[in-house]
Amino acid sequence: MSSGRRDRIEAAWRRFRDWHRRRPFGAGLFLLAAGVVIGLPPYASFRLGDVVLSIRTIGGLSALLIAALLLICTVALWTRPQYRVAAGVTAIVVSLAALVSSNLGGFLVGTVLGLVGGALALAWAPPAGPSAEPDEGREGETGSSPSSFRSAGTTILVFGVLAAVPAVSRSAEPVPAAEVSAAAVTHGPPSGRAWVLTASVLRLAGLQYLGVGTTRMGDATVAVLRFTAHRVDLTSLRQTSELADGHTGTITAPPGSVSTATGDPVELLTLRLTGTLSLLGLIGIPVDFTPAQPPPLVLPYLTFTDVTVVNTDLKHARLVIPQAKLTVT
Amino acid sequence: MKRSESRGRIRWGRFAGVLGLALAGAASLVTGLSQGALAASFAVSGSSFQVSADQLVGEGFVLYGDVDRGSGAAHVVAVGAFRKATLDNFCQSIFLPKVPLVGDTTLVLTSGGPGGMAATDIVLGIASLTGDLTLTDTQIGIDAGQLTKGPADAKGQPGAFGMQAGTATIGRLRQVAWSTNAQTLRLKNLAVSLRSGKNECF
Repeated sequence: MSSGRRDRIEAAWRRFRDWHRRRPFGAGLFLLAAGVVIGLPPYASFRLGDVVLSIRTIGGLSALLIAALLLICTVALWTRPQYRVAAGVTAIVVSLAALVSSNLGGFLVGTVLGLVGGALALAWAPPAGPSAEPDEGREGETGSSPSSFRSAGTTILVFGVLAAVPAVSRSAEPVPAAEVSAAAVTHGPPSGRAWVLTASVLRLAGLQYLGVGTTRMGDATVAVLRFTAHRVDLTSLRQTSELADGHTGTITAPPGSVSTATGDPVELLTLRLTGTLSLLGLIGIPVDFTPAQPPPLVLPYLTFTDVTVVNTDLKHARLVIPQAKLTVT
Repeated sequence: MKRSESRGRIRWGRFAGVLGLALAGAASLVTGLSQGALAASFAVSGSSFQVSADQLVGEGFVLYGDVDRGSGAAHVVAVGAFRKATLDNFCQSIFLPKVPLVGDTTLVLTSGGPGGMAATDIVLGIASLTGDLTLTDTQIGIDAGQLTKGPADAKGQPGAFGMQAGTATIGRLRQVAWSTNAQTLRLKNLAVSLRSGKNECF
């Protein structure tokens, strides 16, 4: 019983040995390893002491593609050894391409494995007749000179292609983002959430009040005060907005510093403005403007102090904030 | 016996020749990468790290909130993304506490000079950022799901706060971030060093 099983295992091993000796098996193993090393990291994470390094590449797709090609080469080498030159050259090309496009070719290891595998595939010679057996050691050198010229030729071709690929891909740089802004003039994209602007001094120049309008905020339509201005100066700016799940993003400028928004003009949609209206710096009038309680009179130049503005939109501004600090809490 | 006749061989001379040429090609590509001639795309995330630069000049800037889950733990971040960004005197450091045998270590990457680092479609998970901010064609208060000016993938949850700008310039950039993703990153004069102790960019 047990000897019968051993015989069967031995027979299976012999069959496997005969099988793998008739094809570039080692070359395939190297390519398989290269495919795994290049293909896995974009989807894996490593632990290094207390630090977890997870590598998520936008170019993860190219890693997957390269890994798939290497695996196809492996299968081709094992099932169709007669295509070993094509598979070997392909493996070398994609291994070199991986260097540029996918995490430095699996941190160099994948590329080196792929190059070794590809070179083994090109150097593999099919089983010869019984007469060729004795001079196995020497034939490698005598028989190689014309064919190594050929393989050198293919390799040079490979480098030519590789040198051309980055040049082509670089000439196809992404188009500038000019065309998108034109559509947003009157009916811009729906607003997200209201955001809050506070300043110790708010100075508006070239101000125009365009009445009460509506805008979309999330799923709701809300009434807003519509302003345009050519220049907005904010002293001690602080802007807060809800980012996600109740967390707040804050942009602050140092106390006393002046941030400016300029435009031709700047559009401002406001839900509420509270503060003190300063008339010629002499008289302070507390104000609270909302769409239900709009400002009775708007002059081209207005100055508010200790002001809080709840906005939905600010558009077409050139914004300068010195020593800005962005924090998430 | 039959099996010795049916055995394939490796022509080692040819193997050495092909491998030599292929490795030479790989070496020239790596040299090109380190000199910034070619672009490598990679991204590392999972621990907060510092980035500093004398100046960042970017095109196609968007900012919105998101939750970074790169390291397993969730961190709320401000996602800042650029279609194109160029950084002068770029420095990035990752603090590695209690590394076995050597203790606290800091991994520092620097890319000196003007335009030391250039990236396309770069998406940063920002914990905090300081710098002199100049934005042009700014829109504040856009639905984060409707952002148009940044990289194609850089969009937040619909209904959430978002802002975008045609161009962004950040002087004296100091940033703590949780993740960086980029389509391409080019680092000129790249120098990687390990410093002992907590010895970061700023």
